Amino acid sequence: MAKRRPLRIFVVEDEALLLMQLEALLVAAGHEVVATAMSTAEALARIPTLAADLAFVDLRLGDSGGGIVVGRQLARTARMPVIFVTANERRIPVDEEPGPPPPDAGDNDLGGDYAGAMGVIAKPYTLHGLRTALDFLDEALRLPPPHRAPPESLFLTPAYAARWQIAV
Amino acid sequence: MEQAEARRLAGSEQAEFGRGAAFAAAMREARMPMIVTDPRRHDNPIVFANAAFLRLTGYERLDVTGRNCRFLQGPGTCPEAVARVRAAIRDEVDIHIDLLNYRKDGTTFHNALYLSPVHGDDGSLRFFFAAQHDVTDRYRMLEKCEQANRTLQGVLDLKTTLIHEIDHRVKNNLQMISAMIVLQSQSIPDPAVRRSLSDTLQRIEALSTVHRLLHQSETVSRFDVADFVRDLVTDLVGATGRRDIRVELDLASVVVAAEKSTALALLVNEIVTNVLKHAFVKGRAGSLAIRIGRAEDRVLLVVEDDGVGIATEAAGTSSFGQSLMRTLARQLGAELIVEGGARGGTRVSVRMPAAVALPTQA
Repeated sequence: MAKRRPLRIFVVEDEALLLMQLEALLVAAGHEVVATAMSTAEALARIPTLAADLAFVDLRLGDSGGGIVVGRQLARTARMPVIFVTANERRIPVDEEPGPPPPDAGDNDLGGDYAGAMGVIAKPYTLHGLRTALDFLDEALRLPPPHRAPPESLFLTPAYAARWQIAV
Repeated sequence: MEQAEARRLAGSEQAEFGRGAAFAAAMREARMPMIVTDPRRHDNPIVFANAAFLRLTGYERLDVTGRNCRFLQGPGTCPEAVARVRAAIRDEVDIHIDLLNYRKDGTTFHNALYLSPVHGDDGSLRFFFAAQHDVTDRYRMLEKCEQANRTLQGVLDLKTTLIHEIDHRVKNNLQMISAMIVLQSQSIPDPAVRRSLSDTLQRIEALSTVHRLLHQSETVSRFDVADFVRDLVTDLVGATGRRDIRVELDLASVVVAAEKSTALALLVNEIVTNVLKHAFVKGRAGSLAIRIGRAEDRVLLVVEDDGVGIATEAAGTSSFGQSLMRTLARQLGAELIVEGGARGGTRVSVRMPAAVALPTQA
């Protein structure tokens, strides 16, 4: 079997240690971290030239805007699957008017809620929790739809669960 | 001319009520403000106002007699309320309604108005009788209450934000501690040191799981051991990467207070970690059964495996691990029994006093 192309991943995290850990774990799992950003401004500036398959976005960033703005921009404009990584998962706003995706939407457009994100990983996650989430995402992004339920550590947003017909 | 008319109308009480009649005297002297209006006259004017009404409104008798009551209204009076009064008069039904009214000097008062039609013997409409009650104090109190509520709500919101903030920091810090250990161990060549760091990481992750579960509950004060065991065991067994270890869970819901949760979680973590490390060595497949239940006055947690057996397993446990388990059991007031199991492996029982568990709630 041919070697699989690694997933190209964008990581947005403002805590140095957590950024380093996530990067290390992603690389150890055989993926490629193509870019990182440590603030909303840095992330937004990076998006236009970004070529990635997946983004991990910390919900709370130090500067104004925060992960929600970054996530929304990535999901809506760049049409990139976004996984929010957050220590307060209850705060993710559900967009006011969830609707069907626009007709020109790619497979990664969500239309409505969770700022268009694909999923949420709650902090603090365990090493194993993150690995299983990555395995699932790897399969889901390469050969959608995935053929199994997401692991405990990954909350799949309703739009993606519906699209993939996965009961969550 | 106008004054003469007013005087005439004021006097009409004599005709309609009879000056000597006891009830008319009572009305005149009553402490409750009262008026009578005559709907048969043009614009339904006041034909009688008692002294209490004049005191309340600050008007002279001559100011009010012969005039429609709307002179009590002002810019702050609710138009819908006025419309409802008008409708009641039109429909000849009684009404009780609060209105903001104005005194002669322009000051306002909240007026609880009670208005009723008065019909004659022949059933035809004769008068409207209206009693007023100054309820300004009640409104003032209400406003004070609302203001107090707003203040309290503000304080509560602040507290809630603070709790979220602290929760966020605790979770982030736990994640950072894990990150430090993970990153550090990557640069350590000695496998024994790495294993040791990995044990520490697992203990911290057990604490992290506790914290995550606690904050998923609304109250942040209750902790279901069954949920924790399910999460922890899935994680620990998954992390071994082994598919030849079968897990059997039989978990009754046992809810404990938050302050017991970390000790219990660390204890379960030690027990299960030991089994996974020592019971199924050298490619030995097997099963791990965990049961939580209540027996008599105890809460019972049993971890049983069909692995290599108690002698070998116990020998593999580190002295720190053993002393940690014993001390955690002590903290919980629990009895820790390690013995040979029915399936040839080891059985670890934790017998906790029933008081550890909170009463189940609906």
